[in-house]
Amino acid sequence: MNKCKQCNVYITDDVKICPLCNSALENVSSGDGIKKYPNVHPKRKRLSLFLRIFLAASIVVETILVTINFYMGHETWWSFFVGLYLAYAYFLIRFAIAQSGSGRWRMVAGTLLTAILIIAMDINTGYEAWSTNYVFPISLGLLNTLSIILIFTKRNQWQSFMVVQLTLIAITALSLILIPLGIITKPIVIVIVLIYTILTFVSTVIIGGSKALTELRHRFHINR
Amino acid sequence: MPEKTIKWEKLDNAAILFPAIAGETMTNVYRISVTLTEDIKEEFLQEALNAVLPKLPGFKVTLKHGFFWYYFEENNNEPPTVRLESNYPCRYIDPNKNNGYLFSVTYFGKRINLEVFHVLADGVGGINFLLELTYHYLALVHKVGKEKCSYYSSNTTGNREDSFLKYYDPENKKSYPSQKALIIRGEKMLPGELGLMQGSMSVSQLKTVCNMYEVSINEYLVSTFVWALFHENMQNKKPIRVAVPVNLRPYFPSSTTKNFFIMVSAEFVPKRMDYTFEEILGAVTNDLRAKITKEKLRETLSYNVANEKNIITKAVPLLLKNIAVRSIYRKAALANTSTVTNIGNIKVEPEFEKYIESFYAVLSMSLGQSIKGTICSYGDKLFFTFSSNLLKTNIEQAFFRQIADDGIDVFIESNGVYDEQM
Repeated sequence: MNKCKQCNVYITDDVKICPLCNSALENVSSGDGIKKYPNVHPKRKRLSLFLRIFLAASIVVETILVTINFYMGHETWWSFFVGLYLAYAYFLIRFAIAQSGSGRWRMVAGTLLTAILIIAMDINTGYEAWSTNYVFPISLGLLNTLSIILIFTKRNQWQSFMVVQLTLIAITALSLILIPLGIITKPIVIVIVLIYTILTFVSTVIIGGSKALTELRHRFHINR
Repeated sequence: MPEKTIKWEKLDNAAILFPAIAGETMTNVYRISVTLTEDIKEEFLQEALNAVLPKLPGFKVTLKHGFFWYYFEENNNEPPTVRLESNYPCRYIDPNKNNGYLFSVTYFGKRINLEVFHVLADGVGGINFLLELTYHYLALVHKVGKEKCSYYSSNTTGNREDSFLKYYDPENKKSYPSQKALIIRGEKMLPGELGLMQGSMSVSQLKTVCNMYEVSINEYLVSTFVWALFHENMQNKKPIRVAVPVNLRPYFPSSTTKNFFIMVSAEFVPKRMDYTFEEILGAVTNDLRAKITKEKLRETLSYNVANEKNIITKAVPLLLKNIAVRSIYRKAALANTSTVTNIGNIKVEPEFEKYIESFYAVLSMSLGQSIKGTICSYGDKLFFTFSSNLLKTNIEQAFFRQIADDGIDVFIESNGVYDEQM
């Protein structure tokens, strides 16, 4: 065991420098060689580095493309699409390697991100509302279908997907505001999807029976 | 056959905060470790965990989002897998990757680590679990204990009472200080990294010094920490406040394994630059003694519960509640410079004493607090463990130097993070 004369403390680690003051330890004796903590070189560090390299490369590529787009004639801002795709790829990779968050919510977030990308493309091409009339509601409908599939495939946690279904009902219902605002010009698909999500939820509650009702009681903190 | 009802329970008053603010950068996970006299055998530790978990209902739960509050639901999945420690301490526990459980068990060499998301239990509950796990493990390995291959201590309780509600007095409440405190700034490690700097010392030597100053060990160590904070930030005149979680069980009888503590802030307001250690020790000790009384503790406890019981708070959806909680927490967190928690002196059943070398605990970092301390002792060995995500170790240095100057032998050990930085 070594003593740091500066700090007047004993250092039990197998080191040559005091971890408190960085002074060299005198009469360094080799320890027992047994590591007390792991060497942490986490995969996360490498993934984080990869993400940062991807981000930096994307910014460089996008800047070059915007410059080329500007000087080669900018009737159409094709570089904007590339930028969108790069941003989309960046966030998808982030979602994929995220350490936190459940698969359910990453699935919802990923789908909504895709819908936003497609709406942006629609806006960039003169906005004919095909994205809000069809793509956005169909995305919600697909998520609802996925929740049904997952209820059958992940039977030990089927109740949790009721929350996803309720969230989809809320998002679809709130989207109806976009009709009077003129953002959704053909409301037939969103209305069908709203009916579909409500019917799915009601069916889940009926088929789920007492377990479904118990889940809802728990979620709403209702003691019985 | 009737369907088995899934048990559920509300979060206790202190736990309500944690899910709202927890994440990768502020994990709200604490670690309690036991070091044995021999290397850990993974298969026995897993077997011990599998056997012990059903006896501790407070840990056999998963956290769910309600529409108004979070809640616990009984978790019938397989217990989490015991793993070799391979990451920094107190990393975020993702229930989705841990069979829904909110704790993890790892080992390294002779050490068993129990890491617990604070929403489940305070240090008393954590120690209760770790002791049961250790007893059971040792009983399996050495065929000791009552049953020779299993062990359940008679001190263990599965009590899940929310004692905050029991002792709440609506007529007698007082809020926390909210004035901004000194915030320790400096170059930080990468997100997720955590440095440990542990000083072990003899309890008998500490007692001699504390008798000389006429203070308790807790008052001495908290004051020395405040002194170190002052010493390294002399130009700053903001109040130095160290939050000290106080276990309420000795004041309000309870055997709950849920959280039952409140924060008391040891405060020192510097007005000049030349305070001596004795002056700071006197000021902090007086402040702690004035605040840690049954009446004062009940006032703070009642204030916390009153917020939960507020009819408007109850009616707000969880999503909005979380936003409000984060905002209130931000303000409250910046009112403290750091936190020092005292796990106390851990006692083990006599037949297991010879297999156990030491215990220590680690706190994770939180908003505005980049360095924290824990006190934990077993037999004559006390560990003061600093956890920090600051690259510099000047506060730790000032702290341990002061203790060494008082004539106590200090033995320093780190988790190697500081060696890597050099």
